[in-house]
Amino acid sequence: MKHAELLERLKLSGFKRALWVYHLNTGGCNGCDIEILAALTPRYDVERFGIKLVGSPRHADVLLVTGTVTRPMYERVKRIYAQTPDPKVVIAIGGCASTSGVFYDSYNVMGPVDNVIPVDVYVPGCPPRPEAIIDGVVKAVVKLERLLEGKEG
Amino acid sequence: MRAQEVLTALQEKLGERLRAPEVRTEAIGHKRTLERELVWAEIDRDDLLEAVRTLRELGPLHISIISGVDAGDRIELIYHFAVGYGTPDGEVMVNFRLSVPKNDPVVPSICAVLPGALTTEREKIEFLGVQFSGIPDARKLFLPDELEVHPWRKDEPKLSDYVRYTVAWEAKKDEKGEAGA
Amino acid sequence: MKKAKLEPEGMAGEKRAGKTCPACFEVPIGPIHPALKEGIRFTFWVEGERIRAVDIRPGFMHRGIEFMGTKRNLVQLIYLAERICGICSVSHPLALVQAVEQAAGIEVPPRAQYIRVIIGELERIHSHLLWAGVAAHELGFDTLLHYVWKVREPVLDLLEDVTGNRINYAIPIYGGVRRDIPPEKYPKLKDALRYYRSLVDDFVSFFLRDPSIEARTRGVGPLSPEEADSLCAVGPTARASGLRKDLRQDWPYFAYPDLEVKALTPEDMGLEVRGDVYDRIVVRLLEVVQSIELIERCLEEMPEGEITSFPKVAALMAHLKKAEGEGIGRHEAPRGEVIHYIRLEADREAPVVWKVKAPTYSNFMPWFPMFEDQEIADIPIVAASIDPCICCMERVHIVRGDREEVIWKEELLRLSWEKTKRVASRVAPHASLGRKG
Repeated sequence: MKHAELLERLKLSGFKRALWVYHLNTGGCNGCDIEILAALTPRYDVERFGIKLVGSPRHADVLLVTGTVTRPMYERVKRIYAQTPDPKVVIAIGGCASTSGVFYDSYNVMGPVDNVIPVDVYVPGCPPRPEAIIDGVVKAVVKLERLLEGKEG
Repeated sequence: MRAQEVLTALQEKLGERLRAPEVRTEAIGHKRTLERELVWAEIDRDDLLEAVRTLRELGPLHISIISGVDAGDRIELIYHFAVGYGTPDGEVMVNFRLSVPKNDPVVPSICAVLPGALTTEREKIEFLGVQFSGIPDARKLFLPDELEVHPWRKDEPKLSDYVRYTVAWEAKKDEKGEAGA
Repeated sequence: MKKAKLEPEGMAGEKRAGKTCPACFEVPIGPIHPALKEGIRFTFWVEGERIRAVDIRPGFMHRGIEFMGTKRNLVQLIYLAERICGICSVSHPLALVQAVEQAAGIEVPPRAQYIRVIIGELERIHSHLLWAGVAAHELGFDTLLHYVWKVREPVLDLLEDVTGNRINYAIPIYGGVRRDIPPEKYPKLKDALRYYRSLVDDFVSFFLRDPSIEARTRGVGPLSPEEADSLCAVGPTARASGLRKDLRQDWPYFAYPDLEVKALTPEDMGLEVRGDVYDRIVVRLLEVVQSIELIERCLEEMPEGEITSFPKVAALMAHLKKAEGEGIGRHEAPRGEVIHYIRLEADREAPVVWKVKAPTYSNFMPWFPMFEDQEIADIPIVAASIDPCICCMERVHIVRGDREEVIWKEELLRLSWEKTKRVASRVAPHASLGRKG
């Protein structure tokens, strides 16, 4: 996505504030995680749009969840979702978070993220390119705006 | 280090107790061709420590992994060692096959000889339900505490309770008894 | 200063903490940490600022891959192996195909062996650069993080150009590779390698000549050669401690016998081996240069010919179905030794046994001596120094009696960054460069 186009969409959505994002790996392979990090670094540089990765879910507007949910992470994902203040949006990044991907039929895999917490935006890909991740976050902005205006519960 | 040296040293120490010793070779390389060698042998659990000590005296010793499988009424463990790292083309893989009965699955721990083996021994305890005598730390490592089964055992009736079929068609396949066939 | 506590009794942290410092604070860290099996929770027992004992509990990311693998066919297994780790996503398939080729007696054409080396070495460049960025971040040099990740993008472009994907390249297949590198692509590869060569001096001055980085990494997280040997460290962690342990040298495979790779230690840069975090940076930088050279040589010497012995997948599947036997595949991944053991039975599509070992598994035990007597603020860089797949610190619990505080990863990083500031203000610029002694 072009810089100007993205700015335009952010403007259209009327989102006045910077978007803070918390990244949580629930049992993925790291592929999506390094692409999220790549999106923050100079070539993609999401920070110029005010999108910032934060170190605590208590500060976040958006949860980026990567990976299929493993047994020990099951309760922790719920806890982190509960710790994120409303209004919040959850983005499932990658095939594993969306559908559990290649990880099925195991004693330690509890399934995709939407088995555990509600997911608003799905970004497919294994792993999705940084552009796709940014696109997913922009879709989340639109949703967050609507939540703020009280149009959706 | 060549495979024959390793084998000779082991045979000197263990004699007949080293069963079915075998050197498998593989040709590798395109312009510079080499013979890569792997030593395979079967030993009893009582001879394991002596065998590992012999390897340790031969040269720099590295334990890659212990792999294992449930073989009916016995559990088979394979110790994969690499002897002689540090010299070009000088490493020989030594693989010891070890089999213990399920009603007495105790193997001596080799941590006293090679402390780096602790991770893989702890893993075998939780995955296969074997015990290591003299292991300094026998707590769970990778599996969650609430998981009470040994996932690599084939005689675990409770294991299927834990397996979640996250993909619908995969569960259907299993009902027909096709999975893994 | 160095302690040789190798007796494994010393490894159970709680026991030791109780014995050596009853007044220690207990500091659990984690578990949220993005790695394969190594989703890790650290528990530290600290006396003041010093770590006296440590306990590590992995398993939060454990997905039961080996269990799943024994229910899938061998081609599905490649896809599963690729997703063991997203950073070394070609290392696991490369080890797996070797194991299966050995078990099923499959020959591989020489050109395919060279292409496997090229992809493996490109991955090493991308992984080491990624690590360098993360290490800079842990120390509080975010400018350097952004710089390193910026120059990492061209190698991802290259991988995308050659394989079709930035990550998870899907290149190895039993009996060869799935895509050729046609000669039209050589100039692009060579240009990129030249670009990386031109950056080496910058990297040396940013990472090795910077007095604050030196002050934060010299003598931090040391691992003696004896400890590295007996605890079976692998990869750059072992080499930084002075062990010349490199599968490409000791146990050559693919086209590595032709290339005659030499294991690199800090001595190759004229430095005395100390086995600390600084040395781990040195080794990784040296290896980036080595990888550039290896790829250049591969491009020069690569023979013409087929890229797979089974151009038709149906023939491959039929061969694999008949195959019986066992095989071991080993590969020197960016972080160290990967080993796959596989056992096949005829008329069974799934393997009977599949055992995977990732490098961090071997580097798990060396963590214990590294953490001992270090400062809390050094936890992030020491943990990151073995390259366990990105940062592992997500939150810190401090427990003493009934009082409990929760500190997040941010706090721990803040401690690390403050230490850098403190140290940097003390170190005069350009003083005591990281040379010999």
